[in-house]
Amino acid sequence: MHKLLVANRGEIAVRIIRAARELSLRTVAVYSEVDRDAPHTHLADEAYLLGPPEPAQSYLDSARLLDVARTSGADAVHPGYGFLAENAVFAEDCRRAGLLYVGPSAEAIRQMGSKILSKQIAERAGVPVVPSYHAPDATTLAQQGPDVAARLGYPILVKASAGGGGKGMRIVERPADLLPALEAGAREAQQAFGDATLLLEKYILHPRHIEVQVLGDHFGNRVHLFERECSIQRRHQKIVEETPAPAVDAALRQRLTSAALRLAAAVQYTNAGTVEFLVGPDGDFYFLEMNTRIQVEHPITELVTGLDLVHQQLRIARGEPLAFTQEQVSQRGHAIECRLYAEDPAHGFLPATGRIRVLREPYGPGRRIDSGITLHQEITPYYDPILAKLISYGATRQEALWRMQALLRDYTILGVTTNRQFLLDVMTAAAFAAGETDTAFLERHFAAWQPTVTVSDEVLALIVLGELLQRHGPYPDALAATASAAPDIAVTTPWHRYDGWRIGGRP
Amino acid sequence: MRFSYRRSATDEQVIEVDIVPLPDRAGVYRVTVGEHVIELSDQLLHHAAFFKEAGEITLQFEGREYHLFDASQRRRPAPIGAGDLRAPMAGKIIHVLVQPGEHVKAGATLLILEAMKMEQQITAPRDGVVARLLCRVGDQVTAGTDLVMLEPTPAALPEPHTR
Repeated sequence: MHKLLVANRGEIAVRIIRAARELSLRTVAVYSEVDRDAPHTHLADEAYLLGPPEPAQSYLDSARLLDVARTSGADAVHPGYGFLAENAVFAEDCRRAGLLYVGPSAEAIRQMGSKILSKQIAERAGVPVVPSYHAPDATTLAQQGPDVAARLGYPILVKASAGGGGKGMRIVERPADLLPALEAGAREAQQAFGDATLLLEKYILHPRHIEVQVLGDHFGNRVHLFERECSIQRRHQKIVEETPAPAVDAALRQRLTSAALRLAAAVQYTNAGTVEFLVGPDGDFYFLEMNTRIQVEHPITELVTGLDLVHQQLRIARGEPLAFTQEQVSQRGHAIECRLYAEDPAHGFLPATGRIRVLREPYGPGRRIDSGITLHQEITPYYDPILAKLISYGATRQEALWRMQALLRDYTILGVTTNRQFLLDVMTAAAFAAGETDTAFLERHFAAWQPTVTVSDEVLALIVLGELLQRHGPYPDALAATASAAPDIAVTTPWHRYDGWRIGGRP
Repeated sequence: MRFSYRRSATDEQVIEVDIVPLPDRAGVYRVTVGEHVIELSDQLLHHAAFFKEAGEITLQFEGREYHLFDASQRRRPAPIGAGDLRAPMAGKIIHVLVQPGEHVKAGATLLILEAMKMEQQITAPRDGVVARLLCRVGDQVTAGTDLVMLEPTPAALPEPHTR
């Protein structure tokens, strides 16, 4: 492996390009028309235009990507996350074109990409899946339902087999409500999907979302790199992750990580992957899915293990065996990640667009910022709205939390609406400090969240001072300006700028 | 020196603020907001970031973000609210589900807008007739763009006042 094509954009492309250069690889970036001046485009040794901004005509255009690989002489491809990561056909096409694909085998991607197949493989590997009951027909379901439900345990979820999107879905708390729910559910399923078949599934109350990082090389060695808790989600997307998980003790960690390794072994998994679980308050856990790529939240694992996961991915892909054993890996300290998105948490987390006018990324001890943005960059509506990942590390959870709070306060971005204040409020919530995190955390505590809008007189005074200095420069120019009878005539000073200002901090 | 602001772009009330540098104390300013007199040092600005564009001021201070509007600039049209037929975000029109002349019920989906992998339905805020479509499938629109003109259904017009 000499030259790596990074088939992605934004913070993850930047992250991968840096790691590749550290390993003395030449790097090739690709970009769409709106990403000509994006950080990843300039960071790589070479960059190639893919096409128009629409993903289908740029970052998802596998034929064009393979063209670029050929033209540039790249011999390896890293897909990052999103776009073509987890696309078995793309992985296969890369290999057929003689390129090293930085990820697992196309077969593992395909097996784990199927909801049904992945659960079957998990069950065969002795990894628990959410217990469920599929009846052959409605009569059997009505007859068997009460017994099955009692065995699975209430509350129970009635779901349409053909379903999705919550249609025909009901949570049944008590045995007496089961039969009416089956009747109503069947009617709804028939209407929505033209198929009244229902299934019963154990409903996991207050689950946490906990996942295990695994690594496998091409020599049959596999290790886990412990867990990450990712329960804080909006629209089923994670926004905060941490490791170690507050609710996981040594015994549960042992059970989770060995289950993850069993599943990885079952598909002869290579490279980096993540096995996701739902964990109930009782410590019972159930396999959700396996992500066959680098995860957004991989940095927190890097901070507590001291390993560079992208280095590991590249080294595994170029045929090196893992340089360490399971016993040599340990979890040290605590790490938290917050995902900074261009979105409006006060209005349903709708994506926001705009130009970044002020940007200050406050690096420091225990603070890591994986950023994919730059000052004056236009945030467009074409891609995932992630801007940067703010990551904190501390000897203890409390220390990591203090650092994250400070990082969110100091990180400055103006010109585009972000979820920064929302994240700050989540990080200062008592329930988060107490580790009371489950997948309903945001609905429970932050459903009606609004940013602080009251401008106090003190803040007003600061704004006025800002305006004065922007127009007239600092004392004594400002004194002269206020003394003059023509206050609106601007004095030309270095302060007289229209692109936002700040004092102190990095340029 | 006097500045005037509104708390929102549409607010009628204007806040007047006076600021003077203190001649004997470098970097210290006196600000008067109504009856309230505040003395502050420009040192505070080390903790702040400020941006002004088209009369809207954004200030980030100690982790919070504040918005204020320059009252010397014209008031803006009312912002987009629920049921408005303007684009709530920048994005691409991926479906148009109605035709001009079509009668729609309140809540009916008229268009679907997509941005950053998210779909947003644009629904009718009230019963009405689609008077004009102002966009087509594939159009890239910015936040606030008018998308559909909806007129009240004839039956929904107020009854003529008779006695």
